[in-house]
Amino acid sequence: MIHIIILRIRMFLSKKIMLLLFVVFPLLFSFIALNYLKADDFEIKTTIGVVDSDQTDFSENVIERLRSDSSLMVFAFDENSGQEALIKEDIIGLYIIKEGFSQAIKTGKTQRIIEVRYLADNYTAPGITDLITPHFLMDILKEQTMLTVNKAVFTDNPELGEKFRELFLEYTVMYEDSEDLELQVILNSIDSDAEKPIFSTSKEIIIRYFLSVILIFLIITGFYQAIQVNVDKEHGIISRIKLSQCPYYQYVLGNILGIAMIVFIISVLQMLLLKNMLFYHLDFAKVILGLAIYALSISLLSVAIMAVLKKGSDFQTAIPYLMIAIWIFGGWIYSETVINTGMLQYLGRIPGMMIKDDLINQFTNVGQNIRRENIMMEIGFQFVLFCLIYLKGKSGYNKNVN
Amino acid sequence: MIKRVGFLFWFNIKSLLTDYKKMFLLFLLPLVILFVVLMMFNKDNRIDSPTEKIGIGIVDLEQTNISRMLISNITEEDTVSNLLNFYMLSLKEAESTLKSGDITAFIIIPEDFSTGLLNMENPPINIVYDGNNSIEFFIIYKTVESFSKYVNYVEICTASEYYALIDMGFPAEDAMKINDSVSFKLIMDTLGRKILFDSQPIFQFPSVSSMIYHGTSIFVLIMFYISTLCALDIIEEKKSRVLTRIRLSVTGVFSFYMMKTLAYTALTTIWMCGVMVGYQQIFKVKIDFLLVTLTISAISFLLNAFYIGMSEIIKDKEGFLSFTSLFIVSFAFLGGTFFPVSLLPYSVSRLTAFSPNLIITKNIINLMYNNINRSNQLYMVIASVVFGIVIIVASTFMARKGEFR
Repeated sequence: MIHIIILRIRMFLSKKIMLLLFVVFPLLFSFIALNYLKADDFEIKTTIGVVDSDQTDFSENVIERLRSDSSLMVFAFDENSGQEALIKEDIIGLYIIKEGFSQAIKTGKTQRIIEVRYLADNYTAPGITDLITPHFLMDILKEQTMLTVNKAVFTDNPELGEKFRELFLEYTVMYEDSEDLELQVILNSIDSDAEKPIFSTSKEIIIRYFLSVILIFLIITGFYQAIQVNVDKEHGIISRIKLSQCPYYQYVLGNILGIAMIVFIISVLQMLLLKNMLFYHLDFAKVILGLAIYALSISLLSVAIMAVLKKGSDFQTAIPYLMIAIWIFGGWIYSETVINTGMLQYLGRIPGMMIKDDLINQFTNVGQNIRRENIMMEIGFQFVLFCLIYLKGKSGYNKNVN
Repeated sequence: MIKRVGFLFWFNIKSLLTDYKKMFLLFLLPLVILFVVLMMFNKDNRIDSPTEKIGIGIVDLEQTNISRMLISNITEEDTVSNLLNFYMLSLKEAESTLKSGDITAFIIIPEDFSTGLLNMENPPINIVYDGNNSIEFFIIYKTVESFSKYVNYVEICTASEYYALIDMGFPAEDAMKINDSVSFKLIMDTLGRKILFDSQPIFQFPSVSSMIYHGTSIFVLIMFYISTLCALDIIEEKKSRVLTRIRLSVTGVFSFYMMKTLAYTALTTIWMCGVMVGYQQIFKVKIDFLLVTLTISAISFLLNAFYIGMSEIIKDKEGFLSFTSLFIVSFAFLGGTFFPVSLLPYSVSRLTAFSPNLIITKNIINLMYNNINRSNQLYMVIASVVFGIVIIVASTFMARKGEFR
């Protein structure tokens, strides 16, 4: 069995293009992505466009406040170029501050003073309005306070009203700069030892996407190594293996473990890079355990598909569908947003997919464990797949030996 | 000569049509998938908003009328309730529901919340999540953060108003009375903040997070794959010395490559136009089929030519297969097939504008919605065909060089 494992690894190492595509390319990709993610101020900025039709100090003040929000990227447009940018999706929403905006606020008539344009089927767009409303609301609330107080107390004394205005605005500037009145929102991750999250929520999304891409690349690596098993037959290697009286179970196990080993070694190299560049908190023992199970599941899945499809070219043709199916039903980032969770519960039992969430959580949280029930599920599926592979190819192998 | 070229074309078409397995996997299966997916999304009329509502738990530890009123004001608000499903839970229930994956996160309203707000002490709100569903959690977090800002701004105004009046010599009792009416007015303004906006959603321009974008993008991805098979055929045929025999006949390598490309282009175009007919029925769009056919043919022609060119550079079959798979999968990720590019950081989302997958998908969608300039589109078609021919000519030279060697 050992010699089959060595054969698989040697065949992989002998092909420079395979090394380039499955080892060098992912490492290079990770290196570039990590350098990007390392930046402290990294955040997904929501891009919005603003059209200032009011052209007053008041409206300029609001735009300045929007610009000072670190989660927003604000571009100033005229109406036509703004509409164009929106259609091209350079911005997610276009906010038109209508003419008479400042006057309307000062008189307390605040109905429909800002026009919001967004692409109707962009599901993130309406939510953005909630993100930017506070910036508009601050000035409105200030004016409303002054209007209400003036109306109630200083109707007959405009001088006192003006004094109140000055004092009130001084206080608001003071409170805006202080943190005393802020309502804090504290994040807690269940099962995490960390007092607060390691990364900001928007950075976490990109980290999860990046890790998903790496793990998907490992699946493709597994698929191509399984196609190589078929090449054994074409190149007559299998005849020589049979001549060495290698029992069938050893041949199957050798192939599975060989592919798993390749995937595992590549993934460990990746993890070393990740740990040294950004994820300093990684508990390598847990990651290694998770990766070993993941690699073995991928290997078994790949060999099982090869056993079913039989021909390497058929496997190649099926790869796009397999990738789409794995992405959709594997419960990866975004697919879990689109696909009904109930559906994922029944269909998302693809080998490797149960452990992958625990694996990704190791990067974004401290102290999370690889869940035992997921390990047991993976082992169960691995056993089923092994039985399938064994039964599928046994008669063919023995027939050729005889 | 023409007879030989014609024979080559029909030979390629016939050999493709008689390869039932390939035909099923490449042409029929995607249509079946499209049908099932659209049926699934059409069922609840979810085509325009395919995402699920986000489940969120609320644990009200205060249990007073004020906290209940505050919660109901938030949960019954239009934009929020269209996006989120709220569940009132006890702490234990919330933890177990979160672990089971039925909710994305839960918010804990602390015991002294409303009295704290009135005293301007602001006891913090806790959000608990399990680390999964990060996009959904991001939306929840941003929504809660906005609400915390509203509270903050109302308090800034009421506190400033109170202390300004005290500074002006008002007795604390009078200042407090005025403060109460101001607070009420500001809270009402905050709750009714939606009246500020005049919402104008734009239809006819599907976004990169729309169902139609993801659907079309998947078909474009399959177009990429079909094109790799054209080059794979050539690699296999080279192996069996077909190229030498072609060169010995008067037909020539260029015609051989050209006919192979045209055969694949013709079938891909017919298949994609079939998909477009389906789209026309489902999305109720009016498609200019002449322009669509020309565009898809040109794109498919260029893709086939590109892969033929690549097969001249990477001659080894396994190497070529690995390269094309990684190339296509990389562009699928970058082009927003599996993840909306609008959610990527700004600089990365600018880079995605160069992804062929995104460019082609957007072009096809714009064609479906008639958002294109007809003459510009025709220039694009001509440029693609010319560029494809140049690649095939270059590939012919490379193939000849290889043969002589």
